[in-house]
Amino acid sequence: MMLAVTTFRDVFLPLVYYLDSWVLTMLGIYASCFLFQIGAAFFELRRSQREGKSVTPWWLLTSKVTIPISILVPAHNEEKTIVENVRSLLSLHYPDFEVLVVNDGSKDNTLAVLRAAFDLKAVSRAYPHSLPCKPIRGIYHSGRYPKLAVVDKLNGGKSDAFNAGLNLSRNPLVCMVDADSMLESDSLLRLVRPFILEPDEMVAVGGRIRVVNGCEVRSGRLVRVDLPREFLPLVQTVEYIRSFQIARLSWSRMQSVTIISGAFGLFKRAALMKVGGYAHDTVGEDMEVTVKLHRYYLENRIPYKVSYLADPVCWTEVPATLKILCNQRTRWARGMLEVLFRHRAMILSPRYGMPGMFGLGYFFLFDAIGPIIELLGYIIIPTCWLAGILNLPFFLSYLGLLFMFGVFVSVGSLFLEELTTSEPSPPHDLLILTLCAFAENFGYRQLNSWWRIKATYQFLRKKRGWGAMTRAGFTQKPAQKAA
Amino acid sequence: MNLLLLVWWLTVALAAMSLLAMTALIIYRLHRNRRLELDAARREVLKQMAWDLMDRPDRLVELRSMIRPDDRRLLLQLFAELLQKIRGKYAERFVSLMRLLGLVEECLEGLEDRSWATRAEACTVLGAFNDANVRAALYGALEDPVMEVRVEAARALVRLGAVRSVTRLIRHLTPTEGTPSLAVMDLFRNLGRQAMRDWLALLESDAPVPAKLIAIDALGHSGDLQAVPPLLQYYDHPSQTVRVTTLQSLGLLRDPRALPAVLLAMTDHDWEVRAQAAMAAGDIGAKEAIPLLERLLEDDSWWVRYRAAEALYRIGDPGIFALNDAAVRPHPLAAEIAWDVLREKGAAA
Repeated sequence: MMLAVTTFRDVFLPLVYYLDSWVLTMLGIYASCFLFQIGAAFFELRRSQREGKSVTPWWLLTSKVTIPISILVPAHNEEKTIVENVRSLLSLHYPDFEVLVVNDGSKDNTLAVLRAAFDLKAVSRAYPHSLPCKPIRGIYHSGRYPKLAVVDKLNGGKSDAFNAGLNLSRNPLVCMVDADSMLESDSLLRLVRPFILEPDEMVAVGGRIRVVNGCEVRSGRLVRVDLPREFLPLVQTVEYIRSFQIARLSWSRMQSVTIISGAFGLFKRAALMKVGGYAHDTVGEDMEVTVKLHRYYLENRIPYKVSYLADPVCWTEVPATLKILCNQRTRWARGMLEVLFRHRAMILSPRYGMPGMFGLGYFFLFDAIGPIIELLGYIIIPTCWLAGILNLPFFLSYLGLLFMFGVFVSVGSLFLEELTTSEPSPPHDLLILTLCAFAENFGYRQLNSWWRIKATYQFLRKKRGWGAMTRAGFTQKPAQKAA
Repeated sequence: MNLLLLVWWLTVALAAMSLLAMTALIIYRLHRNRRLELDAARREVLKQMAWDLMDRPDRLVELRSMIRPDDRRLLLQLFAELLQKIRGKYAERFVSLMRLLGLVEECLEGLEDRSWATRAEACTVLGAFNDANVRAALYGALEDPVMEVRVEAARALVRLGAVRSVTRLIRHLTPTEGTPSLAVMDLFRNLGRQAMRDWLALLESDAPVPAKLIAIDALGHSGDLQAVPPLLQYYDHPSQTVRVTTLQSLGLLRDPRALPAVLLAMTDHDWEVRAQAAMAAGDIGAKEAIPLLERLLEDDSWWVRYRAAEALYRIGDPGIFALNDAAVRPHPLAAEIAWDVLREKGAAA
């Protein structure tokens, strides 16, 4: 027995020390990256706030320089929420826009409720068949709402719906919006700003996504902002703040935004057409199209910019149950892996500049490799403990350091959040969010890593498909709360 | 210090920093909430006072005594906001009220402020005062290192009709290459016909492309037909952006003298120029363009075909006749687009 333990130690210990040095290096890079990101995000925020002073929503609304926008809304089985969401989109403040709802072969009554609510009539519309998409069954216009058009097509998935919308849109800018998201009334006026300031170079701009769970919504309008009451949406609120207020702002500063969320992004239509629109064979279509844009412009040496702004806001409902959250997160992670694999030539390649080195490099190191290292840790640490080679005080201090670093980064994101908020909000919200940032280390973070591992497995098995996302609908919330 | 101690101290330091930052954030939020609340309440009072004063100027001394030192900041913000939204008699009254309250001097001092936001706000407000010293100060602000302040100063000068030199304004606001921002383009469009001579001189000069783009765009929006002959020199410029902008401007001016150039642009090697030329032909509405527009219905680019079909429709009966004719033509692309546009417009025979 003694001999077996000694042999185990002889073989295992050098391996553990080797892996340990790798893990420490990775963590060092990870921590430095985050600290650097907080600084970069701060400067980017100041810059964009400065630009926002001379191109204000009011000025844009009254000037004649706004660029016409087509808002593309893919809808699949959205009968519960679609009418309210379309009404909300139609009431946006912007001088020249159209809402193009693409009914992607819904099996429910999405088209019927739209036809009834908006008095839709079948029309003919000339359009190019530039991007591949499933056949279009009909195009409808509303007599009462001239800004609304509905396209009915066979089911082909979100990318297919976007491509159909791109074929049909005639405006120079297209805004991609999820059917279950709600835009703030001046969000288009804010999102268009970079295109006004740099009309030639700007090809895509992403806006900020905020969690609507817990807020009060009436008739498609947000009337009161509040934090979610349940733990899962609450912890996702912290994640969203961290992701949008630190990661994307800093990527924008570094000219390396490699993902513009499918829930809210504004693109130059011509640029999307040049890269062939959205890819059908990935669930990470929003990241794929952004990376494709970078690749196209870098390879052809055409000056361009992809940016992110923190002030145009889109509100979205986040999953409130573990099952749906698991589906969503594994799908996101799988999509990210698919994109990384497809554009592997760009990863950490100086030829692809900041998007390749910093943007995709970050995803590769921390989102693709990171969970595997974390999993290794979960295997090595108990093994070391069993073998009696684990220095428990060191391990606990080390764990404490990691947890505190996570909290520190979250506090940094709350600081940046404070710089973008202009409305009074209760101070105890900050405490709740910080406590959440601490609590997420116990279980939630590990679950997230597990979902990423699961996604890696699914990716290797070449799994396709989206999984279900059940929506409650915005208007139910006040009633639920009252109950 | 051993590694364990280092890790331990780092953890404690991070915890302390997080706690401190959080406490500072909470105090800041409490303070901000209170300040927002007080400011909102005081703004309402000041707004009411301002409206009262416009109807009863005799109460100036009484109301002036009620103004606290901190109110000046709020008054400036209030006026800056209101001046963008009100016009005519009320705007004039506001301006004289601001003069009486001594806010012009305040703004002139604001131009020297360290904060660029204050300087920009001062420029916005000063755009309402057509005084010699204000104009001189705004000219000085064109040298500001921050672009946003320069833009505000230029906007104020345009609003005052006090632009002495368009070239100087262009020098301070446009990049040396690339397309200028649409915010800057808009500023120059607002100069209207008062800058006609400057624009024409600029087109004749060897100014850089961004400056020429501004001139071409402004001339198109001026509505002055004097602009047509000089614009005609640019329909075949080497820069695609210049060619497209020229055709846009010619389309806006709708002068038949531009037709030969527009017809030539329809044979441009760049599809965007051809599409823009087709649109310009539709804007001008000349029947002479029909044969070339019919030819463009067979173009490789869908957008050129569509714009050509649209232009034919806009020309009226002869154009619609040509579209109906194209819809039964053997050329599949021409037939398809003609048929699609006729159906879309509800004009299919």
